[in-house]
This record gives sequence, C-alpha cells and structure tokens, in this order.
Amino acid sequence: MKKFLLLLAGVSAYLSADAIQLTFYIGDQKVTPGQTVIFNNIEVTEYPEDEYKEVMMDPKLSIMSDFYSSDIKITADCTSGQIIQVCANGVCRSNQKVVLDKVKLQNGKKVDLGFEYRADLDLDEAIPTVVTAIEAEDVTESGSKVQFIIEMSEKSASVTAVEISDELQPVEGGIAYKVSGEVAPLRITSIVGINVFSANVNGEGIIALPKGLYVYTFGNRSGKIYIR
Amino acid sequence: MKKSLSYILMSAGLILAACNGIAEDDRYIEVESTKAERTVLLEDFTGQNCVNCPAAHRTIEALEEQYGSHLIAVSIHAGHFGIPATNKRYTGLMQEEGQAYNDRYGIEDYPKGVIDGKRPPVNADQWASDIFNEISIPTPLTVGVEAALSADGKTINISCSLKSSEQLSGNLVVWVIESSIIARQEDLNEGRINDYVHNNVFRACVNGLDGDAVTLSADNPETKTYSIAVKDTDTEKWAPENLAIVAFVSNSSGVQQAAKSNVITNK
Repeated sequence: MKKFLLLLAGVSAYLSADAIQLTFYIGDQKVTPGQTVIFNNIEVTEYPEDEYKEVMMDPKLSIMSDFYSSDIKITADCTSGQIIQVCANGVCRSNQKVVLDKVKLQNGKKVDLGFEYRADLDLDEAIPTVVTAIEAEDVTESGSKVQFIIEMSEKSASVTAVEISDELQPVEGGIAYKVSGEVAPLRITSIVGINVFSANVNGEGIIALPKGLYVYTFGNRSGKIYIR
Repeated sequence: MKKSLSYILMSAGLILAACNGIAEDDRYIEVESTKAERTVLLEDFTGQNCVNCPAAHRTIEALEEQYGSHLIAVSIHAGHFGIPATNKRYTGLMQEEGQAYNDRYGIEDYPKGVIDGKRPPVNADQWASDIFNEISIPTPLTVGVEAALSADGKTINISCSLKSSEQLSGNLVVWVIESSIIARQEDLNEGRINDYVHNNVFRACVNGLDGDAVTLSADNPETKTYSIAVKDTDTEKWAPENLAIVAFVSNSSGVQQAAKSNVITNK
C-alpha cells in the first residue's frame, strides 16, 4: 500500500509539474479562481448638448502564465447580454460571447486582454450591470483552466453600497480615519478579498493605499470605499 | 577518463577541421530585391473602437513607404468596432458597403487584412510577407484611372482604362477613398485619440458592390466612365482635395491589377 501511494504521489508530481498555472489580474490585483469580482469603477461622460452619455467599463483585465504556451483559449461570455470586447495577439473581437484561440503567453509576463464594455446611452437611460464569465484554458496536454465571474456596474446589489463616513474618507494616496473616543477596529481588504490593513485605530491618521476599490469594516459599519 | 577525454578532443578536432575557410566575398548572401510586377490591393478591415488598429495603420504607412505606388491600401471600417457614418454624435467612418465586404470575408477579429482579394483574411503581422509574395506575381492587365472634380464641385468624373495582353474576364470595381479625416480612434496605449488622422478610408462604391463585368481580349483596350456625387450631409462631408479613386479588376483568382488616382480639383 505504501509503495502504491508513493507511486501515485510520484505520478501526480510528474503530471502537475507539466500543468501550467494561469492567473487573471484586475489591475494589479490577483483574481482568486472561481470568485465573483465586483467592479464599480465606471467612467461616464455626459454630453448634455447631444443628449447622450458614454459609458466605459474597463477593469484592466490581464492574464499571466508561469510557463510559455502558444495555445491558450480565452472565453468571455457576457451572460447579461451586452456586447463586450476582448483583445489578444494583436487582434480584438467584440460580441456577446468572445472566444480567442491560440493566445500566446510568455512565462511571467502579463498580457493585457483589452476586456471592456462601452456604450452610448441616452442621458436618462439606466447603466446596465454587465456580468461576464471569463475563462482561460491551456489547450495542450496540461489542460489547465481558470475561470471567474466579473460583475461591472455603478453599484452592485450583492455588495453593500459605498458609504462615506465622516470618520472614514478616501484621500489622495490612501484612506483617512478619525476616531473620537474609544478605539475602533478597522479592517480593509481589496475587492478580491486580500487583507491590506487590519488594526485597532483611534485619533486621526491616514492609511497609505494605492488607488482602487476597497471593502472596509469599521467598528460596526461596513461598506466600500474608492481611492482615486 | 583519459580515454574519454582523448575521444572528445579527437572529435572536436575532426569537427573543426571539417570547416572550410570562406572567402571574404562569399560571407554574405545577397537577397535579391523583389521586382514589382503588379499593384497590390490591401483591404484593411478596421474600426474606430479597435484598440489594436492604429498599430496596423502604422504598418500600412511603412509598407506604403516601401512599395510606393505598387501598393494601394484601403481602410474599410466595419464590425462592432466601427462607428457608422450616419452617427449624429461624432464622426463615424463605417459604411454599409464596407460592412457588406466585411461580412463576405467573415471577418470577426480586427484588424484584419485581405491581400489582392485572397482568402483567408490575415493578421497585420502577416501583411508584409504576403504583399512581398504577391507583388512579384506577373499580371497581363494594366489599369489606369483618372478622376476630376466638376466645375461646380459637386461631382467626381472618373475614367478607367483597361488593357490586357491576353484574354481576361473579371469585374471592374471602383471605390472612393478619403484621407486626412480627423476623427476619434481608440488606441491600446494612448486610449481615445480625438484628433486621429484617418487615411485611405473607404467612402463609397462607385459602381456597386461587385462592380461591372468586363471581358478583355488581347491588346484591345477598353475605357469605362463613371460619375459620383460628392457627399455633403449633416453626418458625412467629403473633402474633395483629400479624395482618391481606386479601381481594380477582380475575378475568381483574386485582384488582377489595381490603380489609384487622386481626384483633381480646381484649387
């Protein structure tokens, strides 16, 4: 039995040694496979004279591999029905479901996928929630596959709406807090759940953080806060 | 160990001794420059919202510099990345005919190019090699085109001359293209460029999507004349001084020959 298990471990090690690891990124933040990522950094430009607004949702999606592959298949399926765009290998494709074959990835080099949703809407038209299932698959013997869902909207029903407290404010380069009285526990994570700050705070201070969207728990309150 | 070392040294010596000295004059192999036997037509399927398309436009500029009048590039805006010319909010460059050509080739990725009407459409990184191969293929056909603006500035009068040294059948297709159009363009690195200069933009078919059927007998020239109104609407205004006419004959073997002429204005 022991020999069989050792043999099995050896075979597994051999097989997994060939499986490449694919990782998606939203900006600089790694995406946890299988997760639903909420993205709220929507650009809206209004043109009142022409009675329309431009909506742009660009989460800066990229992918990286830990090994060279010239046969990665990228699938982006907008399940909410909008037309989205994905680019790779010097070409872009736009449709409700986009499949790009034979995408080349080099070891350790991020590739920008040019994933975005853009639309011209009437001024009073609601900005849609764009939900897209994104998958990358190594179409070789390794068969590595990674997927996640991204939900892009002005606000998401599944997450507490952004609350700006007098005692917690986004400032240039970080988040400013002000606590009068007792110490308050403050915890801040990235939108993909990575812990960036966790401590009891009182008085005033600034937590230095790069720009982006964060989820916070501050005392008995929680919400989202965006640093520009 | 000693024996292995001596074998290695012996092998190395034999291998190195097998190399002949090469005379200085023979060290470089000159690649013959290709002789242009025809004018090649490059249809660049592109779009104002296509972030990778400006790179392809730069490729076209480099190829035009290399091949001069032996290369005619036409940028056909189409697909989801195109902005219709009827757009009332900003300058759009996509025409219905351009979309029709795009659909015939089944193009879904952008940018994509079609060299002398031959399938399949290819990515921009393949244009240089495909044009290099295509331009040296002889053709019996000579195409000439002349175009001039009417005195009232509202019509373009076009004359196409065709001459073949052997029997040839095909379709003569005539297009209007325009350069120096200032309109927005998305770029991968620079984002939205509002004052991008668009060149060689397909504007209209003069004689229909498929053109006119022509049958040429050996050394029996033919001339065809056309006219087209200069477009001047709320959403699309042609600048006559920036217009050119592209004429080409195409058959089942692809584009046989192409020609281009700037529209002569009276300015």
